[in-house]
Amino acid sequence: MRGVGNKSIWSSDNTAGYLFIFPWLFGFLVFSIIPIGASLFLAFTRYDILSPPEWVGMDNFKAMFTEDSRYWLSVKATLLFVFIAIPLRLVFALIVAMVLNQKLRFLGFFRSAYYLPTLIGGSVAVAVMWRHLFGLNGALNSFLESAFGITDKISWITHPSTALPSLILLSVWQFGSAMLIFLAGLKQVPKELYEASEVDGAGSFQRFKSITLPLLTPVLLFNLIMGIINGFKVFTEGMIVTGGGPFDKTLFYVLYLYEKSFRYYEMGYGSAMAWILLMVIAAFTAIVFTTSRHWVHYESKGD
Amino acid sequence: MRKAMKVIGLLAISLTMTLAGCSQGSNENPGSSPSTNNGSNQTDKAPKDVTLRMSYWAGSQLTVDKNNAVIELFEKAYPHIKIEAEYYAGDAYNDKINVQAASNSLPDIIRVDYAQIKNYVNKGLLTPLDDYISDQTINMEGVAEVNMKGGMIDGVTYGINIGNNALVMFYDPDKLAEAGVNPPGPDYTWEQYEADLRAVKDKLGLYGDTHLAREHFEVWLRQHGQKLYAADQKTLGYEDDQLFVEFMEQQLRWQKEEMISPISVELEIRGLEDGPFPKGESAFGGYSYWSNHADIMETQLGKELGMAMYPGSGDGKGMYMKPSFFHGVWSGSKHPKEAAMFIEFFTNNINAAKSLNAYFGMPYHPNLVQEMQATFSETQKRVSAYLQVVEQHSSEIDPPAPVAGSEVGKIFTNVASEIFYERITPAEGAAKFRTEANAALAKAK
Repeated sequence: MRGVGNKSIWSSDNTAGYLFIFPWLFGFLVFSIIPIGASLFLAFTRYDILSPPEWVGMDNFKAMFTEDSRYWLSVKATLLFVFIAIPLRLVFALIVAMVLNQKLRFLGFFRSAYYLPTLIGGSVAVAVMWRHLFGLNGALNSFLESAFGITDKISWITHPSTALPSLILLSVWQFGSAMLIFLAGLKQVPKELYEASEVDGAGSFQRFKSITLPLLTPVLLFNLIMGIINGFKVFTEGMIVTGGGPFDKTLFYVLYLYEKSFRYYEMGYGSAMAWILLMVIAAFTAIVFTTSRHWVHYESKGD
Repeated sequence: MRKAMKVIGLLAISLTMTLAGCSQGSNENPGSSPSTNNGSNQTDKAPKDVTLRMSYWAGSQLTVDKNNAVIELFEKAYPHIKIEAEYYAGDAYNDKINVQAASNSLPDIIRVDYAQIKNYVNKGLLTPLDDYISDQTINMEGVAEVNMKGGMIDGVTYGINIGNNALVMFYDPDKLAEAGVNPPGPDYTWEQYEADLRAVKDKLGLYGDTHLAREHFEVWLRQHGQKLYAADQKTLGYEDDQLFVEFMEQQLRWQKEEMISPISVELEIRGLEDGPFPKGESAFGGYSYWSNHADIMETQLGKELGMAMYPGSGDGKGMYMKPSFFHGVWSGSKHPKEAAMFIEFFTNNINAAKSLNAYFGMPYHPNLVQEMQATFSETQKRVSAYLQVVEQHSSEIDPPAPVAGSEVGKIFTNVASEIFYERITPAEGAAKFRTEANAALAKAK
């Protein structure tokens, strides 16, 4: 009664499947696809939520690129964040994963401890705690005073030079999820390769460069892509810890989008910003994917 | 055939379940569904049970408690009406109202700020209240025109003033006495203020005050006969950038001599109980406090505080009386009459007024003012006396801020921060503020 594969998607064999995923499909259509489509339409309008949208064509995009200085500040803050926090986070994740890959006592405890920040990650509670750590009268300043006698205090989260670094630090602190994935990747490296290379007299750095790193590249690719996508979407930290920083130093792209849409009633502009962000993220992801052919080494591909 | 029936049946069930789930989810306010059901089927004598929602701005627990106390009194007086109150703090309040407006689920009673009321009226969010005033559901007889004006757009009343307020510079009389400084009177000048800040720093080692805020700048402009916004609200209202430069330069001077708190301290402030003045680290407390914050300040510092107008207010051009908030009724409310009744109770009922004790601003209804004098706490007597001083030294309030007002405020704060972190000079800041503010004002409708 049931046919073999190769039937069209509308064949009745798949009906049961469709019925099962129907609730999800319905939700996806109504809560994802339709709003995305609406946002594309709104990007070409002037819409202040409370009156009907008014078509303005490319005006939003023109204003964004040529007339809005705060827009470029937000781009700068976000790009700085992405290009500093993501590599730092991956490096830390890899280092800690390699350390945890050895036979240590309390290995399980350490793994959980390092993963914990990611769990409580983008929450308001952490952002509030960060303020207490790095504020003018926070823990870091007290430590500096008692350990080094430095009495000239600055507020790390509101000073223009250190506001963004403190948020980058917050993001790097949450390296746990990347670390776990690296750990899984490390465990897949065959031990024989290491043993063989030791026999041949390879030093530990040589081993890392020629064995570990190449075999980790698929995992690295995954972490890089995820990191880039999430990095561009950074919002909570900027909103809660610095509120956009002293004069927009930490005005992340999505934070500026939020401000424009909900505080200044320019939802059309916000939608336009959102679509530009989507295109930028897609571009970066595409670049990483196409260059991945040259540096990612898939074991399963064969030669 | 049987298989098709099964398929159709399953589809129908899952469809119904999804729809039921969805509609349950989108109906965020359990309160309103019973009221829409009881709705207009019966018009008998016994008042039907009504549940109203109200929203208000709350920056501290005291605000929440005071508001709830009035709600309880109202529910006792009108047992068939229940009020469900929601509150949000800071910027989140306006954000929330916008979201609710977009989803057509605003509360019946909305507490609106003067800065936002024009925008809400333009978008058709508020019901005109003139009918309720003329049939005395809201009793405004004998109230002076000036108290009603703020809530009137194009001659129609959309909001009822819940109490009057004025900008204030608190000060700690003990600290001033210790520093050998005379308490500021109505003729306090900016030069004297600077000298006093210096004295406080030299004699006590405390800060004199914080930096000046956008509210100070508006008063500063008014003192020089200018306004922040032009009459058509499409550009800034002052031509002379020198005013901006002077305003910033004097603060840079104070900053260099460490007579005011560092900008980094101020950027960290979250909430009214936070900040140099409530924490006892400064002698004056200008910041952007309003007279109805007196209760909070005196509770924080545990002592009597003095209240003074901003420096330079002697000639009465700068200061103004502000309606602290308005109560408006959502244009889509199913129970506007009951909402109006609550507004009347909150504003004019003597028991409510006694419970509030002018926490949300000074009552202005002549009946109330008389009776309240006897029951005012010491704090409120002082606030009341202060407001009378302001009344004698104030001029008409500026028209409500345009839609781009919040953006202009943000631009001002940003430029000010840049100046105080010494990234740009006051002159550059003046030009930058003008360019960016005008751009924001020109764009908005």
